[in-house]
Amino acid sequence: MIKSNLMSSREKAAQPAPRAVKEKEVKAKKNKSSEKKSSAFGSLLFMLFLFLVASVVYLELLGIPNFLRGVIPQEVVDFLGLSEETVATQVLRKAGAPQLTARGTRLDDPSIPLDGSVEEIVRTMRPDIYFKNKELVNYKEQALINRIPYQKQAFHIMLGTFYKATPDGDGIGYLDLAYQAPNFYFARVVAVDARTRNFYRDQLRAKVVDFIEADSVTTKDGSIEFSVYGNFNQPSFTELKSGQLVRPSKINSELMALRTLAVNNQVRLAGLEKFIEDEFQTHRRIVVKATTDADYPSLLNFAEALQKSDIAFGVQQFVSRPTGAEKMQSTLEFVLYASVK
Amino acid sequence: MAAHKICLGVETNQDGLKIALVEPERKHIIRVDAIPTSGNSINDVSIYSSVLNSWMRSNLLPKISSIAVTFPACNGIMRLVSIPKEIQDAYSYVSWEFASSINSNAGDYKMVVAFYPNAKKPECAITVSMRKRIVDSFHSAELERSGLRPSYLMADICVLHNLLECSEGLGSQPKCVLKADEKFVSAFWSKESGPVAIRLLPGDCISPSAVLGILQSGYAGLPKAKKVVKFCGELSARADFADELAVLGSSDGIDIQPWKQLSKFSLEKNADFSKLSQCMGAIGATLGCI
Repeated sequence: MIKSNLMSSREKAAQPAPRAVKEKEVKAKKNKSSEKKSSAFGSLLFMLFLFLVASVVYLELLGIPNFLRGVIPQEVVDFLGLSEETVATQVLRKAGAPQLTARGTRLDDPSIPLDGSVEEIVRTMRPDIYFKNKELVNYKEQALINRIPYQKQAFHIMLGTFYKATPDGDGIGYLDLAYQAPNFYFARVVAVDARTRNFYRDQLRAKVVDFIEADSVTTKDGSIEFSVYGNFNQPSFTELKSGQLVRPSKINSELMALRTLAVNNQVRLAGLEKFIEDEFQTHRRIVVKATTDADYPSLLNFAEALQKSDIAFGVQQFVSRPTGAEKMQSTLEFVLYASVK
Repeated sequence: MAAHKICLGVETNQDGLKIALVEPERKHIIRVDAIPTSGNSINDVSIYSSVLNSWMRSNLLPKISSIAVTFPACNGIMRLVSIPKEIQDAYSYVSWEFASSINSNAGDYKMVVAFYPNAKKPECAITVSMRKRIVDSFHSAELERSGLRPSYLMADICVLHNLLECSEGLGSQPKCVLKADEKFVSAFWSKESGPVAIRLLPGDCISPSAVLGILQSGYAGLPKAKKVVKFCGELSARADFADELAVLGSSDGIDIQPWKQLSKFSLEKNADFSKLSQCMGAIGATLGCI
């Protein structure tokens, strides 16, 4: 028998060899160590109290640092009066973002948070890979208004990428398909067999910048469910026209133009009339959450038409999921920036 | 009656997990299964844990006392090293030989060595090395919590050698095992003193004639060996591949037999063992638990 266990020696190395200790030594040490323990415990409590006070003072004065956002429970944030939620995000949160399940087979036992945004889901899955060496071509440094043409083109690229990567026929299906600006994608995919899965994987991998797979599960009928996520190719800011803030009086006409463009491409958007408005010092942000039952080719045509148009709405999030045989429902989050007056 | 320990053997590779539930002391196989995965579960331990967890939840299983994982030789570095007689410290020699035979830092690898015929006067050593990063990922606290941390992590050639020894028995003449998967093929020749030859074939080159080529190459160095090959792995289940290989082999005097049975092992009644030949690595891994 070959004994070549790679798991074996680690524990032995980690634990120091036991030393023979005389009984008297042990007794004498016991008393000392119990005294030491109680004083150490008191010091530890005091240090913890000081740390807590310092933390609260820090948070009150400087606000919640980025790396702690989402870590501190919302109840604690509310209790300390640190909530920075805008009216728009509050309404979105209460309304509930679309549910995304990672495993796909059981809604009641997801491996990632329900009601989370795409970005949160991706963070939860593999933060180490996801945030390593990311270069977002200064998306966040751009003026807000410049992000609109970028988002329109990115949305079209994302839909086009998945359209081209998906093989014809019934071999591949999507349980969730999501995009979030600037260029994140997330898909929960079902492949009928390993061969189809491999083909799809190779196709998609060749078309995106980052390709990460997770949560592979084989179901009883032999089909394979798995998640893919990462970044797709980004548009270049240098090739995009810069936008302008929309005058408040033009917001409704922009909405009408968006609706018309959608209808012309067989996409009927519901919920356009219920937009959410945030006011900042220099501009207003209009967020519209619309749903549609349009099929994928129609959505792709709509995305293409939108990126070519002068409509001032960008798409900051898109989530699609099946609602029955050959049917799907998509949620699109449009955003527009308007001047205050 | 004392309860026998049940060991879960898991064979990982690029495209799937092979699973075997075995009572190794009694040599009793309870069940075997093959599950395709997306991605290589040896490089990404989250695939290993999620697929295994899902499988364990969807099957009614007895209490498992330990888990043994085996990985394809291509995921690590395996070497058969002849030890010169004048060498006094065999381990240092093998370590030096390993460090000088690879083009990366030897410190990045964890290596285990088995000496033959014995550790006092070794004539040969089989070394198995794997990236420390990968070995460490199997030590993670997350796997520990989920109860999926393996107690044994061994290369497939070692576990198949052990399986061959426990089932067929090994003597003075070498016996050959061919394990052909979709992405990698390995063949080795073993006798009672240990493995005597290893041949590997990467995924891009796999074809019946290329597999025959590595068998011919191995037998060329062992002219007295009986030309009988035990054939297991994923490709053994593909009738077209297995038939073509058998025909090619017979024309060259090599009898390639599918390894579908294990003498000295008993099988659980009413269980499905149609994938037995694909799961030999997983079964062999459980022998590490003895």
